[in-house]
Order: sequence, then structure tokens, then C-alpha cells
Amino acid sequence: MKWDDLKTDWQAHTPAIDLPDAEADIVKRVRQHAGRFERRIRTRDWLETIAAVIVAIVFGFVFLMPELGWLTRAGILLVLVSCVFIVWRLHSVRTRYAHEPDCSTADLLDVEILRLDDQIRLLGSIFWWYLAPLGTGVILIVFGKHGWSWFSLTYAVAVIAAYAGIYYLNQKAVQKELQPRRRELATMLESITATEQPPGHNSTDTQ
Amino acid sequence: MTGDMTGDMTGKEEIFLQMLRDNESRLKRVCRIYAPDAESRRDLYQEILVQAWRSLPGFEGKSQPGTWIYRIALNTALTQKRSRAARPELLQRDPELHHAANASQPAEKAETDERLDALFDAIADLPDMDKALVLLHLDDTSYRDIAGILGISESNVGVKLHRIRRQLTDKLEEQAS
Repeated sequence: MKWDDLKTDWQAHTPAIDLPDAEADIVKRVRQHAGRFERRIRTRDWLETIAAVIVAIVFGFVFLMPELGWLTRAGILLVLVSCVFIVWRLHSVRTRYAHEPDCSTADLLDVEILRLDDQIRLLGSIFWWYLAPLGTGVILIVFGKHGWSWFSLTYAVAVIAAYAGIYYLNQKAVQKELQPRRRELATMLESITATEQPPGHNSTDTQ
Repeated sequence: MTGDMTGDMTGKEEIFLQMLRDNESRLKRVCRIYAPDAESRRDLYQEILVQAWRSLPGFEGKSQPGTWIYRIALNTALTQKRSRAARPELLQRDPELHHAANASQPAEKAETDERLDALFDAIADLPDMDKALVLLHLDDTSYRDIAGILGISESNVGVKLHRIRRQLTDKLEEQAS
């Protein structure tokens, strides 16, 4: 088998991929896809910010009411601080590991692994930075307003159950998606950066 | 082609299309290797085009356009979501092989097609990074450019390619016998 012949055949071969033939259609389609991608990112960022602003306005307004007890005020403050922190935390993880699509593959894999590590840490500790402060804040508000009542207790149990579900789903995502993906990328990086020993000292494998 | 991206959108489109015309076959071969079926190949190809389009304003012409777009293609193929990850056993043979050497005799063409199919199948069995190395090598990319695209040393490229070529040769000869 001659590699030069294989190379010649290889380079002459164009696999069939079903795409619009006209160049104008290709550009149009690519623009649409790129536009959709950017709109999706913008929408996601805007929705997070708008949700945080709405929470801040509503709870900020309630916080200013004179008749509130200290327990409710503490709960509201906790919710407000949590919202700002959550938005900042999500935004910082997304933007910290940006890379150019044309960087070298080893650099790309390095960055992707760091990003996944951060996401795994983020979801692994979701109880501390998301669920606990937000849930505690909401429960404090209800207890501050209704005192020790069946309503407050039922509400607290419902919040805890819902948050336990969120926690479970996030840990499942870490185990089923993020960790396998991280292992896959780490294997790729290791296989490409590992220095292999040449087969004997007489290797003259040049192009 | 120059790396000047200061032109209007028509200029950008023209540069983009020229890159596509020059590298269409290479990009499609990347898709053929990394995606298991026709639908995934089309998705991957479109994703590569979208990434190239979005990255085009940052292309400064420091590397050859072919090298630049190859980086984007490989990086996209390696990092895209693997919901339909390439599974070698599911790789389908090309229903239609488009060779430039269409003028060759049918028997010769069939033999070439068979050889290429065997090569594609053998490459599909390799680990992802070995696939990238051999793709670049078969496309006559210099060791220096391969090293730059993958982010490893030139000597490492040589040693790895030596091993991969031996693996592929063994496999192809085993299939042929």
C-alpha cells in the first residue's frame, strides 16, 4: 500500500453532503444561523438580568413598607443579595473562559476543561450559593409575615422539597453530562500532548 | 486572498465564499470523519460554516486561510455536542463518491472507492485526536502547520504520525488480505 497513492485519492475525494448548491443560499443560511445563535445568547442574558431587576424592584418596594418585621426584612435582604450574586456568578463563569474558535486544539481543550471544572464546581456547590440563601430568604419572608403557622410550615416544606429536586437534577447533570464530557476532553488533551517515544533511534519519519 | 476585513459585508461574503471554494473538500472530509451519518454531517458542516463566519472579522491573515479554517473545522468537530457522536460501527459508507478522477475507468474507480471506504473506516476507528492528525497529514499539511493547528511540537507530530500510519497500514492490509 502506497501512502502517496492514498493521499492522491483522498485529496481528490469530496464526500457528499446535502446542502444548498447556490452560494447565495449558503451565505444566507450561515447568516441566519449565526444571527439565531447570537440572539439566543442575548435573550438568555437579558432574561436573567430582567428577572433579577424585577425581583429587585418588587422586593425592594416591599422592603420599604413600614409595617414589616425584622424577620421579613432580613429575608428580603437575603433574596436581593442572592439575586445579584447569582446573576454575577453565572455571568462570570460564562465569560471567564471565552476562547477564539481558531486557537490551537490543545489550547481549546485546556480552556474547555477549565470551563467544565468551573461548571462542575458551580453545580456541585449550588446549595451554598443559590439554594440556601434564596430558600432561606423566601422562608424567612413567609415566617416573618405569617409567624409560626401551618401555612408557613407547609410553605417551607414545599420550598425545601422543590429545592431538593433542583439540587438532585443539578447533581445528576454533573454526573451524567459534565463529568463524562470532562473525561472525554481530558483524554483527548492527554493523547495529543503526550510525548511519544520514537520507534528506535533510527526513525527518520519526515514528510 | 488577503486578511483585510475592513471591507463591507459584500467583501466579507466574498472572502468567506472564496475560503469555502478553496477548502470545501477538506471541510467535508472533516465532517465525513467526525460525524456518523448524513444528517450529522450536514449539521456539523453548517456549524463549521457558522463558526467560520462569526470568527472571520478576527482573521488577520497571519496564517494561511486554509490553515485558519481547518483549525475552526477541527475545533468545532471536537467540541460540538456529542448527542450524535461518531460511533465507528454506525459510520455509513458514502452512497456516492465524488472523485475528481471521474474520467478513470469504472473498474479502477470502483477499486479506488473501495480503497477510500476502507481508509475512511479505518480512520473512524482511531481516537479523535489521531483522526485529526491523520486528516491533516492526508491533506498534505506540513508538520509545522499541523503542530500549529493542534498546539504540539513538530517532533511529536512526526512520532505520532509514524505510529498512526503503521496502525492504519496494518489495518488496511489486514482488510485487503
